Amino acid sequence: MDPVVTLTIVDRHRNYTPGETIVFEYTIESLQGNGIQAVEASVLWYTEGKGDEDMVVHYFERGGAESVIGEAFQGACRFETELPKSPLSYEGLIVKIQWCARIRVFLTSGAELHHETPFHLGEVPRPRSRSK
Amino acid sequence: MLRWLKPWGKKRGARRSGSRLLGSLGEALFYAFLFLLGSLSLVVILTSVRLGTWPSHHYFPELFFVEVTGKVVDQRRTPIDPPVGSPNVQPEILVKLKTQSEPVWVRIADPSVEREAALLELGKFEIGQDYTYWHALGDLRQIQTTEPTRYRFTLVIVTLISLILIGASGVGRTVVQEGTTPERRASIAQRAADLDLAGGTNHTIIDYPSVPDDVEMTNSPGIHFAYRLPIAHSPVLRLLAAAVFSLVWTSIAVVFVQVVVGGFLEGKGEWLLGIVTVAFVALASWSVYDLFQQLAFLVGIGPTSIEISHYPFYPGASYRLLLTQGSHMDLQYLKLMLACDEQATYRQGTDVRTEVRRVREDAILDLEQAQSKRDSAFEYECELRIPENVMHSFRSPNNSIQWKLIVNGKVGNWPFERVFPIVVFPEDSI
Repeated sequence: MDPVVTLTIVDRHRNYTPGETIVFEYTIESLQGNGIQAVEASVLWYTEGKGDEDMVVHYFERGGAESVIGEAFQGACRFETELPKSPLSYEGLIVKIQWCARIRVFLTSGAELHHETPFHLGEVPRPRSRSK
Repeated sequence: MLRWLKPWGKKRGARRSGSRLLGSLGEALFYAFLFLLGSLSLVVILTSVRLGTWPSHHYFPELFFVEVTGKVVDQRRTPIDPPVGSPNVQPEILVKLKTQSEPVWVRIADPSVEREAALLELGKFEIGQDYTYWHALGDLRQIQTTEPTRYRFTLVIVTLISLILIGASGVGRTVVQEGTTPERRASIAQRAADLDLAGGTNHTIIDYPSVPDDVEMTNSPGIHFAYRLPIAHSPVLRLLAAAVFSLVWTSIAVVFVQVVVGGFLEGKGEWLLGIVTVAFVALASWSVYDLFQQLAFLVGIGPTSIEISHYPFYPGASYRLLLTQGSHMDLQYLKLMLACDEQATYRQGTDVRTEVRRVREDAILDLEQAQSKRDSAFEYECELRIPENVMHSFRSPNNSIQWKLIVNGKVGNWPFERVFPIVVFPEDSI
């Protein structure tokens, strides 16, 4: 079985409000002798839709093997961040803003594991379709 | 649905169609080639300059010129056989260099000149006087009376250094891009941006990331209410641009007309130049017409201003608003609306395209046949309510959400539209 990384939100609910602290938890399974070189955890937003993608990282942490060994093998590692006031999640007609957390695990074999968990910041409803 | 057949197509966005690793490798090899080309060429040229050998000795002989002094012992004007219509005299001086026993003839004008010019040049070198000369090392055939310039060599050195810098930065960037994740790169860029913002005074960008800068919203006080909103595209600027264009183009046309008319009066008229001049005059006439149209438009319609009672804007909140429309003519109708547009910019091949989609439009004022008096400003005070549960203003490099107040109207026979961008903050910022 190949190594797998999973990322979940602790105490997940539908929408998060600006200023709220969000906690993530990740686990690495089935390493089977693979060593961990580094782990990158990030919370970010990116745009989707008609325009070229924009991406801004709100939280980023990169740690070496020492940051996870001993915790990840026993259970799960956690990281948390306070969400900013903007931009709120949005699903427009040609502009969409998507918040997510990402975890990337770099193994000593050169392989890379990653997992992404989306979430909603704010509660902005979809706009009704109308053309200019 | 039947679509027009396109002769060519362009790839949408910045996606790569092949292997990312191979693409990066090719990019790194290209920049490495530039770096090596620049470095090796620079080393070869500088070494050859030091040793006085090829290629510097061949391509940059001016680097090896020697400065000597010598006495002018004779002068002459050598007639030559040039092409028809070219000058036919080559002025020369006979110089006795201090380092040589035999005098040598030195050309002092290259190429040949007219007889009067030759006399003028020879007059600069009096017989019996000492002057400074430059000649190639070991070659008295290349002797000259002016100091050789070295700009060619400087240009080549600057070009090679540029190649080295472009190659090194390209390799470095490719390696960094390939060796780091997009999140890590974005994080580094974000930290650098935060350092820049730390010195700024506007807290909007720091407190509300990706909400547009709102400094312009509050830096103009109103007369009736607290703030006067800025206008998107000032008609005065358009008028100024039209004036500059008209002035430049008319000046060019006048010069053309002068040359063409002068030519025809002397009997040497050029018909092709005349046709080009007609086109220039036509465009100049149009630019003057457009300038006066815009001037009449600006004066006839008059200024539009919107004042608001307080700021910032946020969803669900209400404000007092005063719309003022100046006019020197009868106002036919006037509309005021609150609108929200999504704007997306994307690359398609080498083109950059922008698409705008309106997602919301709320009428605030709709006056058909507004009865305003000529030469008096029309004023309308009302409530502006930002709708609840709407997206805030947003701006990123390729995407944006723009809220704006739009004034549409018609004065005389001129319809017009004026846009006042506003910044709406997130609801949670109340």
